[in-house]
Amino acid sequence: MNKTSSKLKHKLRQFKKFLPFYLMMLPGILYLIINNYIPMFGIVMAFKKFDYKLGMFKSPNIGFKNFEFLFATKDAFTITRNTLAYNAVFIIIGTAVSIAVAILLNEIRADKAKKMYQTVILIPFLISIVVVSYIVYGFLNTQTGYLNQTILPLFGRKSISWYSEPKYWPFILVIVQLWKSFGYNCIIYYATLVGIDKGYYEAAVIDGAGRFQQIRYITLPGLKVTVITLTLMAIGRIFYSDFGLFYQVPMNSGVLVDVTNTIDTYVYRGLTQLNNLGMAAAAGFYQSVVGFLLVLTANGIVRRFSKENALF
Amino acid sequence: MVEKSKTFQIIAHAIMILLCLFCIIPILLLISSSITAENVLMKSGYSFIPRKIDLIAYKYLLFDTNSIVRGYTVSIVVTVIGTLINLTLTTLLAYPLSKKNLPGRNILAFFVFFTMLFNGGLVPSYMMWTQTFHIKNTIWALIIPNLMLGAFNVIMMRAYFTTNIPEEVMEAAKVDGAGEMKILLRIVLPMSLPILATLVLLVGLGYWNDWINGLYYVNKDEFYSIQVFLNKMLQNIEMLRKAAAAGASAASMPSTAIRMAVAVIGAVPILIVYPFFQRYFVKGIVIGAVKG
Amino acid sequence: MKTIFGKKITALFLTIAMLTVALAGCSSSGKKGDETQTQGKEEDTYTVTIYAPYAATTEDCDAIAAKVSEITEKLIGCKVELARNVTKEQLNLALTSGEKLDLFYAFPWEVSLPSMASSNQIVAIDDLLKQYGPDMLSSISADDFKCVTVGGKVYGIPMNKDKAQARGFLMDKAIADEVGIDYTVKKTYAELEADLQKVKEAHPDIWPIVANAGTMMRPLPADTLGDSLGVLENALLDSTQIVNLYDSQSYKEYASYMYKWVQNGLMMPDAANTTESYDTLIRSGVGFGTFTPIKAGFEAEETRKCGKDIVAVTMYDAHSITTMVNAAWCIANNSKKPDKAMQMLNLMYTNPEIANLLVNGIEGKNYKYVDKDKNIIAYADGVDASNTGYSVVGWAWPNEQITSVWQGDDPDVWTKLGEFNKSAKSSPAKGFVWDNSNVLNEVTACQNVVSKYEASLDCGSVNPDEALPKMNDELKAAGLDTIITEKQKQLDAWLAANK
Repeated sequence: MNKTSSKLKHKLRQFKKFLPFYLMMLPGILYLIINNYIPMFGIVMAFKKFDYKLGMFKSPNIGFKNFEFLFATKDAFTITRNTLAYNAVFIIIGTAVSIAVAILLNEIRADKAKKMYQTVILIPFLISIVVVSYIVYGFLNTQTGYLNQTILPLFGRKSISWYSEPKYWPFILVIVQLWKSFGYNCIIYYATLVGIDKGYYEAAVIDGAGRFQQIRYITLPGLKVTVITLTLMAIGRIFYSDFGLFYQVPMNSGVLVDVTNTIDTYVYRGLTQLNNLGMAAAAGFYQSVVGFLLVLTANGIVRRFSKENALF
Repeated sequence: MVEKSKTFQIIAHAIMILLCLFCIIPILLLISSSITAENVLMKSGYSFIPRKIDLIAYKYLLFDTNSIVRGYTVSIVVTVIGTLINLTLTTLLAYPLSKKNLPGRNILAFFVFFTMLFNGGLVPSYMMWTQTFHIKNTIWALIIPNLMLGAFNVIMMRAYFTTNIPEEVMEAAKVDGAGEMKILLRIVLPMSLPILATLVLLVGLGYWNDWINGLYYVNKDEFYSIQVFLNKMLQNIEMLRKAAAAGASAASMPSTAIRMAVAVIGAVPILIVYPFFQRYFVKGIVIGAVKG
Repeated sequence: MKTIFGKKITALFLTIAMLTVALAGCSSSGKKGDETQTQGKEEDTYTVTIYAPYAATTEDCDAIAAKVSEITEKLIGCKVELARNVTKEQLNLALTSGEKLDLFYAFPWEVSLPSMASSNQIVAIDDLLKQYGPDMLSSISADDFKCVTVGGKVYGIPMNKDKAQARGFLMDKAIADEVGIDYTVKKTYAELEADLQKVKEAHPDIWPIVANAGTMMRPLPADTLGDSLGVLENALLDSTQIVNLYDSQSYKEYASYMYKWVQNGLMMPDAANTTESYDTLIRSGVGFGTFTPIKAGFEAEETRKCGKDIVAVTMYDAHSITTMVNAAWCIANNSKKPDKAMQMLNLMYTNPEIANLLVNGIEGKNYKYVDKDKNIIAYADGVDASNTGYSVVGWAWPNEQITSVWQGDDPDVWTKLGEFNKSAKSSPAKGFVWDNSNVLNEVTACQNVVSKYEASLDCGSVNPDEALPKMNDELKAAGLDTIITEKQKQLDAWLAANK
């Protein structure tokens, strides 16, 4: 009797102690509920034949019919392959390049130069993707582009019609994506590096470790947590693609479709005229679910090896 | 050893300078083409040094000063208010989550993280914001939907708190009788300038570059932010010209140069403001700090 | 130092907290205000909300809506609210979310009338039309009404614009005269080719043919039957056999010529990937001409657009098909009072004063009369296309033919347009409205195939001997035959019912 009441008291005290924290969180949580959670009910549209008279919940159910178009042709394979492969390459190359540059930046001694480098490599991150597509066009345009007008003649090469040659585009897309995002990722890794205790390096120098040994045994392990976190987050978005990068940057060029079509662009091309809410909702649902399952799996794997590094 | 280190430094600098050029050169092409005469651009192509300078694209844009000035005003108001609210919400959510002994902490963290993975799509949230909250064609339409709180920022801020604010400092304040809110305001925040500056830049960039909310929630000129305006303008060059009944000036609108000028005008304020925040950037970003 | 900083931050937080509260207050009180307002309005005057979804400047919208309201309050007892520059996304969102919306227009190339009708986005208007729109009922031909009929019911009012098009080639008049091109007679590809050769020889630095921002208005007389997936090859003939456009003789001929012309330097290479429109290219002296649809008053319009005298040579005579007619004004399912909406639509179609306000804006503010007797207008003083608060897109309103004529246009342009529409040959399938709801998966897949090949074939960037068979194989795999079978079935049923 006494025991339960003291337990209750303890709980009450506990609650009172943490009440200010819960109150603090209230506005944010409310916003997330309104902005993110309540609209999730919209997922029902993926399973409905939408009738405007009846509204979202009363429209007739049609099961998985809205999903069929995603798997209707052999395009299903192409778009899934492209979406996954590009994202995988972005994750791998992006991470490798960013880490390499971050380490390089960390090794540089001149402070002023260091600051300037940091500033400059972040600039592309600030530019919106539509603008990026204009810049790319300025370089690659067959008639007036900088490459065909100035660079290729320099080497005595003939003009290339960039927008009609699928073979170049996997590289172009990767370069553009790298250009836009490596600075930001690099700064994130660099920030982690700055946080590593200098004592480790001093100790290593005393033990006679060279620069590359230091990187191998101190720097890289120090980055582990950041790499895992960022990669897990990227995996959650692996079924999505940056519409601007895959649609606007290649100027929606039809010839390139085999190497530029992703789930998002396929849905857009197929549905712009159809204006079918149910099918669009189905595509979004499919992307969310697959991404979610992949993150759960990846997180589970991370959890198994080092519990404290898992996201949740 | 010293000799070796010196060569390494030189190589490192060389690589970094090349990377910086790689980042900057494309933007120079953009600027140069925005001040090149249209017919020269058509005939002899893009180049880094304009073959014939012509500021007509900017003249045309500035001719419409009303819209540009109004657009900038809307953008600044939206960016400032939005960033302030966002930072408040983010801080208030991230700080308790950084408390290791907060009951239900993991569930709450997952609650936040989950919003990054799943979304219900545009239509339901549009219905929510327009039918229940009536924000269509108000300034709030550019501020509230989607941009006011981001899970990624919460996670970043929480990581900063857990790694950079020693528990002992807060405990000491508590002994002195300070309430949680007071501790947050007086002790934690002053120690968190780097993360605050970082988030100001990221959130502010989000608001400044956003035109999606404008696309969906606004169709009145007075609420066009600079990005929405510039975006409309890109589509409108063709439209205006087609609609132009008797205007000779419409027929001489340089479309390519305008597009480039528009891009430059939209990006300039960010490029000016950005260096002021940049110095906090490195200290502010902490991701995936060991959690307890 | 620290306390000062702390105080500042506290103050900041307080402000934000207050702002948030104020915002919450605003939205809830705003809501209440709205409710009482709408209740109040329903008692006295209803406001008809009109969406005009087309890129435009909107500054003077409210002023114009107020002027229109003055008239409508007297005539039909309602006010008007006008929103222009509504994007397709906004329109869809408004329709989906059920927000206040009465009248809007739908373009067949953006949203399809049958799909809007079958999902109840818009209401059938037969009864309303009889009761409130007798003027429209009498002045619009039965043939035109068929184009907006779905499942036996009328769903919209076709705009009174050009309802037919000829096909041909537009060109820079100065150069055409210089090299001696006769643009008064009809021409074939071969004859056109000879003309373009002359241009090439006289001006080696000018491309005789350019594209329009990566697309080509190919000079084919096909009836697209809604979406180009299964067409009547020649709308000028009587056959109602549906075929695959991309497997047809006329498309092959066109694509082969384009490819040849790219090879021998008549056509700008890689045109599929340019972003410049043809008028930019012609104006800056890069190009000579391009393929184009032709209607009455066309040359004056193009001359204005290109900043040079433009003439056009016809390749196929004017013909009229469903999609040229069924750009229509519709009443949204959201409308609380469809009867008022219909009355309003009737006024927009028949009342010159209202039509002029909606098309051209306010006299003295947006335009002025140059010749009042002949009804000719120009931009008001100090105003031009680039700074007007209300952009003019006449054909997108219900009836541009009762509005004033812009200076520079033929004063008789409306009469001529009417005659042009009448004299055009109607496609045997004109009035047939394609409903693709049974084959949505096939349509999505085929649209993707078309977007893969179409632009490069249209612009001659690829060899049709290689690309066309590939494209047709993929179309077959994507289910084009299923679409054609379904379309033919619907067309045959429609023909049987309408002959």
